[in-house]
Amino acid sequence: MTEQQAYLQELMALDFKLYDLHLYLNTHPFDGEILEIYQDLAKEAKSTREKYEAMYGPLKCENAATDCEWTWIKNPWPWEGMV
Amino acid sequence: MWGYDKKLQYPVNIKNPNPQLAKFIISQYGGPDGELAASLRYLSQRFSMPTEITKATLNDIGTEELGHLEMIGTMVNQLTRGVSPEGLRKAGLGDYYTDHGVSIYPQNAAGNPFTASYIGVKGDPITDLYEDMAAEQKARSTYEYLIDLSDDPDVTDILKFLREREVVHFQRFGEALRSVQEKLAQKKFYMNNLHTCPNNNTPPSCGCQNVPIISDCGCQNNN
Repeated sequence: MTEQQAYLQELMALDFKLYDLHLYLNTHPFDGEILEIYQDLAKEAKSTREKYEAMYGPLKCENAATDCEWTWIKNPWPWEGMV
Repeated sequence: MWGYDKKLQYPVNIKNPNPQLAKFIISQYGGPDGELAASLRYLSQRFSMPTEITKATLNDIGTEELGHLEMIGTMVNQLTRGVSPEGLRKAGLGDYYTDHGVSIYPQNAAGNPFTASYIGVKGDPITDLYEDMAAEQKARSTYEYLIDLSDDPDVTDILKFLREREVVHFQRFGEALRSVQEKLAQKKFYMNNLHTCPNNNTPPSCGCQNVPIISDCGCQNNN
């Protein structure tokens, strides 16, 4: 596994944790304990995402406009895997 | 992976119920030239697109169509809000009410359920992009017919926005098609998108010299 893959998987795991808590919170909107965990995880995911994007390019198109190039379209796309 | 923004792409706030119009507009939800078909068409075709431009274009327009699907569902929902079963029946929606109540079901104006036969996914970028351009024109025509049928300015305004998007998509697909054609017109090219590396490596890291020009191998030696 390359360094990029490892980093991406770390972010995927964080985002997935967040999302799973999101589903839980939909049906338990006043669970203070989980709300706190969610807030901490959201911060961690945000900073991990920012570091990843700085090193390997944008995950969201908002971050794809450099001074001279629209880097959004660059290969590889998720369905192509990373070799 | 997709995320969700808790907003529509363009506002839908229809003041007056109008089940008659809802019956027509639902065709853009689950009909042959509707938004569900458009989205599935592009998001399925993108897997065999050969270039960065075509992959990005299909991915992103396919995603936007999901937003349009949401707008159409919202319109049908608002147009039938508070309408009695008798009112639905008078508007020709008695059959619909029988099977779906006041929920939103993907069907065309005549009541035929959505089918994947509304979309083409041929695996040839030229073929698929021509299909997509035709699909955008068909959707534009449908929106124009709906505008002809609409007697509510709130509805017409939204339909005009969606019609305009079809025109923009047609333009972008045309540009994407041209970019593929230019690639194929280069001095040396292969007509397939299969990697022919002798070591059986797969793009994009292979680095061997033996790659089709429109592959994703990433090597620089294919011009």
